[in-house]
Amino acid sequence: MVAVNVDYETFDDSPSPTGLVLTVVPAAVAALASASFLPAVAVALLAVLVLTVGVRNASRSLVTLGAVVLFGAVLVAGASDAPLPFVLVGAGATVVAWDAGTNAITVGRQLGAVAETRRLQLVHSLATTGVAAVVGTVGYGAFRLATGGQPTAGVALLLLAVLLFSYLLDG
Amino acid sequence: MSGEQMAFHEMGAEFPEFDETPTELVVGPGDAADHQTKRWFGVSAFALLALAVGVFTAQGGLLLASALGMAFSGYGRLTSPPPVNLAIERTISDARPNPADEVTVSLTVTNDGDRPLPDLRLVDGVPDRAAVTGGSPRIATALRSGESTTIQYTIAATRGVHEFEPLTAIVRDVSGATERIASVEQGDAFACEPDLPSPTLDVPLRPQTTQYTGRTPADAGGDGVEFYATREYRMGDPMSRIDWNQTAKTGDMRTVEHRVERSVTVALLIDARPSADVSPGAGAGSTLERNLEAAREVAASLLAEGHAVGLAAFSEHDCWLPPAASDNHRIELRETLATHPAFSPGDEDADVSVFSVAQRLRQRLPSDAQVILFSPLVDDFVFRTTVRLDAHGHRTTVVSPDPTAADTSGHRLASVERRMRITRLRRRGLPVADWAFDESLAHAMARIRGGRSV
Repeated sequence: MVAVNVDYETFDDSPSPTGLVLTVVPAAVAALASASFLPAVAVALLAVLVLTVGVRNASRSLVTLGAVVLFGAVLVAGASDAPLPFVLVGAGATVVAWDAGTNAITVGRQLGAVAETRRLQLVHSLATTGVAAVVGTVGYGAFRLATGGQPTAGVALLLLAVLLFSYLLDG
Repeated sequence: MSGEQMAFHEMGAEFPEFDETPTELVVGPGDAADHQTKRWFGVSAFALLALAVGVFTAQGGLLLASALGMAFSGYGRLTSPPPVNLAIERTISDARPNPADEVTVSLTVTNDGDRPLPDLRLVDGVPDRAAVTGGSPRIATALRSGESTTIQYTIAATRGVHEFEPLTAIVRDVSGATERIASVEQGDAFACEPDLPSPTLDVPLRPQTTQYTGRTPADAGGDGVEFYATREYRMGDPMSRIDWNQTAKTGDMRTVEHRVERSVTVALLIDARPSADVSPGAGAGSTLERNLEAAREVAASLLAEGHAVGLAAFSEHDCWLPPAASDNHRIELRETLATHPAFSPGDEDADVSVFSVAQRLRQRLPSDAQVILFSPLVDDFVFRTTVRLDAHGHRTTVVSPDPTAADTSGHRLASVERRMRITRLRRRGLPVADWAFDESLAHAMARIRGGRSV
């Protein structure tokens, strides 16, 4: 009697370790960037923990919550006179961490934990980091050149206009 | 849609701006469709938050952080997926594997387009009834122009023809904001045809009287090997057949008669209805496969003994192989048992008329042909048809893989009903081999030989 016993592999849709590393490292960078204000660091480290748990459990809501708290910590540090480059690095790293975390969850759900996905996630995170670096540097340069005596409200209105413009661009 | 799924969707609706909309597009083979993932929509909220705090605290740095968020919002809007031009090549290590063999599938994907693909996700269309046992038929990668990547995975071969489904490719732009889903048809297939096993089974055919010499003992004396009876000498009996001992003892001439052995025409009738393809639980194997396995063993043994073996099936597809005993027929029988559409898992709701199949079988079979039915006997249609076949002169033997389980009262009831059908068949003189799933077929068949009826 030939009994064909097949070990079926159940589909494991958890995010890969690569995704976890790509989330936790920028999140830790963001936490470090808020180091000038101690309460902010404490909150930021908590946010890193939430992000880690979120990616491990493939929970998009937890990842988003962690990113919001982390961003909040960076803002609080910024509001309490943290150096400008630190705020920029913190904000950029938060976006990169959030992006990597949600991407890892999507990739896990679409392709599973067994599939080879490292290259895709690396390229994706590298591109996001690149955009953050370019925008941050250009923004920083422009800010240094242009803030000679202009009221903050004017700059804020300008940014709001840019935001509306980007919405209109899409239709 | 079940309640749980509903709940999930409602929960998802609470955070629309943060949730990437899941991929739900269904694309036909050879088609492609674009889809917005909306994954950067949430960033605008980050930007506005920073803007508000910046204005409130009059901190220029926070305004700059807000600009960063807005840049990402624009990043998601301005990128678009590059034109996709993929060359896909699939190689299958063995196009004709044996059952339980591992088939290694290699899939090579080359980016034939001019532009790099920053985000490529591939899911190979593994055949419906094949199980992946090693590796993953999925990959996510980035490919430069002209670059290629290969994935390898193994499939455990099971009986039948396995055709690969269309492969799904998902290409996203570098930001991941737009994804393009394409379905690529690549009609590869492999066929797994189990060999007929070596003849080891002692198939208990019913007693029979036909004119052809073979190996089944008939209930008649004549030329043969085994002693049957002695009778009075008649003129013309060969000298070698005279029982000299008896003659010397009594003075009357006695002639020995041997049991005549004759070849039999047998039709294997397989219950391949989807409704009969039940199984006692995961890991016990499908009843249809056990029917076919038993049929292969029985066919091999019958052919080795010189009987003519035909094949028919209870199925929506007409399956009929006229009885024969040649080597060619052996090959044909093997192929039919392996790949006939009647034996691929069919439409659950297909209405199969057991009676008309039996009627057609009666018209096609010689009047003295025997029938061996392979059926789990899970309903009365098969029971009544079997009784009728037997009554019409096609002496029928039943091999019945036991598909019942005893875990719930419903299952136990089905088990009792099945046992009652078996008892009723036996009472009518039909031998039934009740084949438990953890028992060898030879063992189950030996119980018929031994004459034990329960």
